[in-house]
Amino acid sequence: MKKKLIYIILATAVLTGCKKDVLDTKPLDKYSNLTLWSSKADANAALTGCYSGWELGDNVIYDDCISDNGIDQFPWEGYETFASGLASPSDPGVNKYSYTTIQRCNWFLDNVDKVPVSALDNTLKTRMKSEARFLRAYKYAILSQVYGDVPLALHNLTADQANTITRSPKTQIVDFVLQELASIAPSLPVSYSGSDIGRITRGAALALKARVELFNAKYTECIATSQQLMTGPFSYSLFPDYEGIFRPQNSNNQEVILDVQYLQNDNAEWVLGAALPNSYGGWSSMAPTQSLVDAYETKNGKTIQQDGSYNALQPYSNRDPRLDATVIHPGLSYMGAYFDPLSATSSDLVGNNNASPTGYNFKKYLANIDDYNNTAYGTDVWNTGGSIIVIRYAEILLGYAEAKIEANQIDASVYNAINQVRQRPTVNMPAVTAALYPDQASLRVLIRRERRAELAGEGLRWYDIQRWKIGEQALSGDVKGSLKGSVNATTGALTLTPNSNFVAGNRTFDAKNYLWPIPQKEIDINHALKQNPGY
Amino acid sequence: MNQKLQTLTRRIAKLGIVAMLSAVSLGTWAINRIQDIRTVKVSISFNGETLEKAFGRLSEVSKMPFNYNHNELRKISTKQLAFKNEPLPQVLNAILNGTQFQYKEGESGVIIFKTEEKHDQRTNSTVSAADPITIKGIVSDNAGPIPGVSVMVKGTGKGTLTAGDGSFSIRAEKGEVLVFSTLGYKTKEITVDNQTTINVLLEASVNSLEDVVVVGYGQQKKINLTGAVGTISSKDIDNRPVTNLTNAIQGKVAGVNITTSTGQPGRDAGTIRIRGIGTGLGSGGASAAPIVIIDGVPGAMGDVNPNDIENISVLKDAASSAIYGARASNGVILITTKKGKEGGVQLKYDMYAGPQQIMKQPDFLPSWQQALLYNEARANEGASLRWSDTDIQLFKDGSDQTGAHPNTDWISLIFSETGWQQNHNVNISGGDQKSKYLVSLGYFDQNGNVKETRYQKYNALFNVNSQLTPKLGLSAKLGFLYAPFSEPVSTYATSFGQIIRGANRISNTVPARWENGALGYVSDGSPLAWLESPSFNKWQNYTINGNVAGDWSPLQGLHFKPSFGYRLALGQQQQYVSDIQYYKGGAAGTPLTPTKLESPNNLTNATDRTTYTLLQGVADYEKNIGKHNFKVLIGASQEYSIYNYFSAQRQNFLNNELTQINAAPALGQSTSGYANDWGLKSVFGRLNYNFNEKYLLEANFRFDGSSRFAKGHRWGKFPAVSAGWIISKEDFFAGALNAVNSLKLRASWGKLGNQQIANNYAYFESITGGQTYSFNQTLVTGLTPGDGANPLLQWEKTQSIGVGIDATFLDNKLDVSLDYFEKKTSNPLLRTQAGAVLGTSGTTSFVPPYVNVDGEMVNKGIEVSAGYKNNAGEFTYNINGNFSFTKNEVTKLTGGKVINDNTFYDVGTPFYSLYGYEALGIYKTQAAVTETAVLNNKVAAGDIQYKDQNNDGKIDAQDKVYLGNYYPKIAYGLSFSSGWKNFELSLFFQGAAAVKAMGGNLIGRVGPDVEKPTSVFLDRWTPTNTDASFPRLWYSYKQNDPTGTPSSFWVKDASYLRLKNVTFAYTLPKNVVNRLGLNKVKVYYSGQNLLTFTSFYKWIDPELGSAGSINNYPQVLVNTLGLNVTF
Repeated sequence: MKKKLIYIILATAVLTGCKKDVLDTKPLDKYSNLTLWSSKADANAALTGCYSGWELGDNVIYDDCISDNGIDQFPWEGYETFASGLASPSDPGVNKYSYTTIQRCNWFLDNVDKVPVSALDNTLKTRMKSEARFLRAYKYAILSQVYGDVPLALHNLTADQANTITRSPKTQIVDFVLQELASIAPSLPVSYSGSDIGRITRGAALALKARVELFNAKYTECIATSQQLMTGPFSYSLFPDYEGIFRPQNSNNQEVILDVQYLQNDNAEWVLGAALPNSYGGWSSMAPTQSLVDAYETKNGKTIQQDGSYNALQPYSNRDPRLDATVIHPGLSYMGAYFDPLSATSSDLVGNNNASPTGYNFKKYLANIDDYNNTAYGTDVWNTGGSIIVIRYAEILLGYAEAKIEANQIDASVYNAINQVRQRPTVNMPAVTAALYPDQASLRVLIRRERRAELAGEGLRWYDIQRWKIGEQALSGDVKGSLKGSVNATTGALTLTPNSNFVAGNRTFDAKNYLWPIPQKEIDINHALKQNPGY
Repeated sequence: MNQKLQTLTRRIAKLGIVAMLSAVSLGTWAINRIQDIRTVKVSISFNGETLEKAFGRLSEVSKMPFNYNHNELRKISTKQLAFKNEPLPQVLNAILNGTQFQYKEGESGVIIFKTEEKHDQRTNSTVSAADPITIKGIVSDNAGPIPGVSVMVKGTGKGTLTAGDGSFSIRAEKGEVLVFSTLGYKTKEITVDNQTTINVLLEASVNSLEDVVVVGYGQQKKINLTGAVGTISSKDIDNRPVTNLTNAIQGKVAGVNITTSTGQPGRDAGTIRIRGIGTGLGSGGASAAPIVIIDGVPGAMGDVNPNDIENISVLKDAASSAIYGARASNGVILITTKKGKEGGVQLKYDMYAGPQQIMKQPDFLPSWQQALLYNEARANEGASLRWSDTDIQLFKDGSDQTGAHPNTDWISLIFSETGWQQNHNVNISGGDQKSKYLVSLGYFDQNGNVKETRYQKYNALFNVNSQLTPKLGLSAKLGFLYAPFSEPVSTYATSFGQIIRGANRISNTVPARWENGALGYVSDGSPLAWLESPSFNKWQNYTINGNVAGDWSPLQGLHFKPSFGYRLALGQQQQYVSDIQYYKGGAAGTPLTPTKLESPNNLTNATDRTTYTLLQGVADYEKNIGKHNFKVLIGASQEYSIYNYFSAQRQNFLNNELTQINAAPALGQSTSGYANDWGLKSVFGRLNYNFNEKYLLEANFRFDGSSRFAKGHRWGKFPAVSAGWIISKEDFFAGALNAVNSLKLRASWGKLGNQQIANNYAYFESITGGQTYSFNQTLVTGLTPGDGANPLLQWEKTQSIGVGIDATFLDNKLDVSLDYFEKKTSNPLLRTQAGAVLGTSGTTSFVPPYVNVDGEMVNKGIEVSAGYKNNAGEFTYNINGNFSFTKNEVTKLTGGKVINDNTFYDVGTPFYSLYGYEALGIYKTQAAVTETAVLNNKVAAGDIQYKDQNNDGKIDAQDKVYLGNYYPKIAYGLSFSSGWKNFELSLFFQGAAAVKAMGGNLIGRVGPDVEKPTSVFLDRWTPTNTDASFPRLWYSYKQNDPTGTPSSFWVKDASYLRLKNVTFAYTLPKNVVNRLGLNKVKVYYSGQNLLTFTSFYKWIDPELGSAGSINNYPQVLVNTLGLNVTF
């Protein structure tokens, strides 16, 4: 009997033990880090992974809502939480505390040297590494600007390392960013062609360097870096049509230094739909404020306070043309109709579903909605393929001017740089002169106004508020919209009621808000992270 | 393998010793169906007659059945003896003293046996000298004949089964005992005298310990169970309109907790937790779900037609489930389907049909109040008012002719259907002594309360058992399920849930339809537009289950059972999303000017396929030596499963008419596909030993190797031992037997494992593809680090101990079981909590690796179940109840508190407890605010005051505390069923208690078009209502918001008691039925989820508790009429 029992067990063993071992499974649809890194294609794919999501058009478009340029009416989107002074570690509102791109770049940089030289020559490898180093530096520049001190991770970490890492001083992060940018610039090409257009260029590295230098009051360095960009081998120049800079058919134009590249369907952007007025099926998530509208000069080159011809009840007449190119306002002729957020029957009426709470919508990238309706650049505004600009040449010119002013090196080049921007063919604002703006103080006021007008809706205003320390003025009190009244549907004529502005919200600002709170969940996981003061 | 076998053998030996030692210190109770012989007292005298005659008379006097070999006992004479009112054992001892014979108590009376013999009652079929006679009869119960009842001649191998009409015919000798038994009835024994007709009335058994219980890889008499096993019979499920098997077992077994989060047809399966949360929750950790084994093959609850179920066993403790070691740490559910029975062809038809309705709906305020409250919130926050007084008046009186000021009841518009459901089942079975078959065909059709929501099931089951030769048996099963599912989908964020969410969130102030016919909409679109559009999501699911098993018995008591199981689950999806053009609304006649366009239309075709194979061999051997009864089982199995998915999508169809891929352009098309697999190898065994059916011992072991772990960490060892002591069989207990009819003590210890993590390849550092970017309008595909790897990953371990008592009282009418358990999970498998620095933020980010957390969690609990059965004349009734109390606590956690949004866990708290601020009330005045710590600078009178726990002058994350436990500590079920003549009534209640819930999703919100508040907001703080129960209104402020600022203010008791089912049935009189040529006809009403008692928000199903959301498709209330016909 014993014998039979043994036979039976043996039979079972045979039955279950045949074929390959079912325990030796391995991933069926994913590559392994062990087998990657053998070819140029491998390296290219990994670098593309670093580019994927490196920056989002959403940030560029939405970020003005954390400034006095705009307001986001939907509390769940988080922007107003920060802008109104309610941000707390548990609920920071907006969150830029992300290392995803940084760790992708670290992974690429930690591994790319495994690819044999026979498969990837050193020149190309160096360029590719420089691209990844740029993307990493870009992220650190934002992190340090928003949070101050942040952990500095330059290699892939283990979970234990990630959960015990401490914050490095902001100066160390900034120094690292600037050194990196200086170091990689020479190995990056000035331009690309064909399907490489959109990769990081030498100009992008220097432009970011100039921006970081300006943001960190390194004016001498900023001046030098900016000057490099104004001369050969670079050939950046202003695109003549201000509104056209942002139209998708003009992607990668001569003014663009750095942008996020999109492609409809496969790598599409949706954020333009969120910006659009209700009557065109949009959400009006980002609404320009009266404060922004008021910041534009009159056609005479004066502020509305200075210009006696300014009529508060016809506030959009005779203004800097950049206002009409940036803000969809009551009575503006837009897409064949006069925009009307004031009349009771209008679907854009302030207060209506998805209508702007201020009576204004942003217009950049949306000069003509048809650019995206079943064209090469989109199926509609929710699925677009045009690039979203991160750095353009006008910012460099204005940054140069500002650095010179702050360094008190006021010379003709300052006025020249500002006037280049003000007098681009479609803008044609009166030139600024030493007569009108003779000294540092007056120029400082001018350059800040000019910067706001030129770059509104491009996600830079918060950084300006932060470094100019004007939060207390810019981010407190009522957030006002347009005056109430009516729009004549056939002529676009406005009838407005004095002092009747819509109020879209109320903000308070505290000095602690110059830095954002480190999200509490990060501190909950990593007890070594200390919170920013005041939170 | 050889080495493994050696280890295995050593292991059995070791376990045996441990188990025997445990048996000495621990024990069990049992019930004896036959009266205990020690309670029998007799007065009798003997005068040298043969033992045969002596026992004959003794049997008459004592009214106890005796089993003995007539031939042998005829040769021996008794001494002269006289007894007056003496206990039977003493009488027997006196008679047998000096003979070769001894007595023992058998299942069915006293057995006299020769001592030198290795007595095996069942093999002891000595030929009798008496002439056999043929006995005929009919076996029935109160309701009519019972087919398939086993009729055995006791002590012989002879037997038969009753036919379809309950009749049997068997040859037996005078003096032999006929044993009538079948599942669900008390076994009855009748001694053959001279009668040739024996009609037997069987009594239904309640919780009978004679019952056989299905356990891992076999069966066990309930009386001999040493582990904690809960059982559910087909009776508990029959005639209830349950759409999913999980709902059918809710509340039926102590310690089994089930929550159902949605009533959507096809998606209403509940979540099952046995004896608490044993491991990580959701995708973050190893699965906490029990393993479901259907006829020996792992499967899914949803695959089984509730009508096909013979019985369900729930293995709750390590002792009973260790034989499934690898995947048993959260319990095992064993489902046995119905099999054919010997007898004529039997045909049964069952059906029910009826409407269903949504159980609970939020009581959102009317539009004018929604508008008023939003204005108030705006005012509180210093923003312009949204609505004028005129607007509010128009909402109130509904006089606006344009449709701009409606009071839209979105919920009624979306939940607009009656929702019929019906179920039909045909069951044909039969067989002879050698082969038995069962064919079951089922059809289930459920239409939901939202248009186009539907789920159908076409079930077919074939079960065949055949005894090919006396030594070789074969059984085969083929199950087939075709289940088409359909639901409408939204165009925005394509899903069905989005439609329900829309209905529950869009304000009543938004018109559903303007007077000019244009649909009203919000930023996401309109749920009504989505519902009216041709969009749909359809799945055709096919599941085939098959298994073939042999049973070769080369020797008496030895069985070798190889088996092969296969499961193929195939799904085909077709999802069409139409584009939707919205228009500008206005008064009647206003031209339809296009506004918002939701596009593009698109079609997705997807298939998924899971195949699962099981190869298994089991050998068992049973041997009785005197009073020592042994059973040994040894087996090995191998499982392998692979999952495949493929989908293709195209968009921009010219219109919404065609819904095939080729009708759309290739531009913008996309595809995706993936696969994953896993394997498991196992060796297992079990030893059962009992002495005289009084001392019970069981030892189990299992080794499992899982493909989810790297070599060297793969194999887990899972041992368990348990013991039982039937105290009531001890001599010293005799005096107590009148009060306590039976008493059994059980104890168990065991170790189990868990490897069921979502990532099948957690030890590989994987790279994720498909990370795209485009350069100059050219798409490039990239790679990024995917899942973090942990090559050291190994089994999560659960050690559990348990003790239990089973007792019966009041003439066996009351039976009670009591269990205590402690389950300790150590080194739980969880995804590492990792900060953003690791690259974990964002949607396509790096996923941190799984780890075996250096921590421990304990679930402790008590389970009580009791049943009482009695009758008063023709009125019969029984009451069954079960109750469980489970306390979960994290006992060790290296690295400290783990916070996950509004829940956390730490040493000393339950796993994932509610987390937030302690609310102290509402600031009545501005003066009260000053000098208190506040959350932000907008806090003012009317806001909730929070406690500054650390007195640092501010309210921040440091002030958050434990706010309660959202997993119910107490769960219970209570059923009452009764019969009177042809009527039956049963009620079933189920409930949970000691559970807290907190949720921002439960009360609605004040806001513009996409928010609406419920009635709780009405008693809000205002300067004139400072004693309000609710804080001042907010929209963008966070200080009172239950989601943004969770606090004890929002924590509520989510206990409930629910009348889960009422069934009222009438069985047509036999003469009427027989005239129709039928055997039995029963008509009934059955209602499901009829009443709920709770102090929770009255519009939310309290069963959901913290997991609840106003945005869920609620559970449904079902009323049905049904019919059972036996032909």
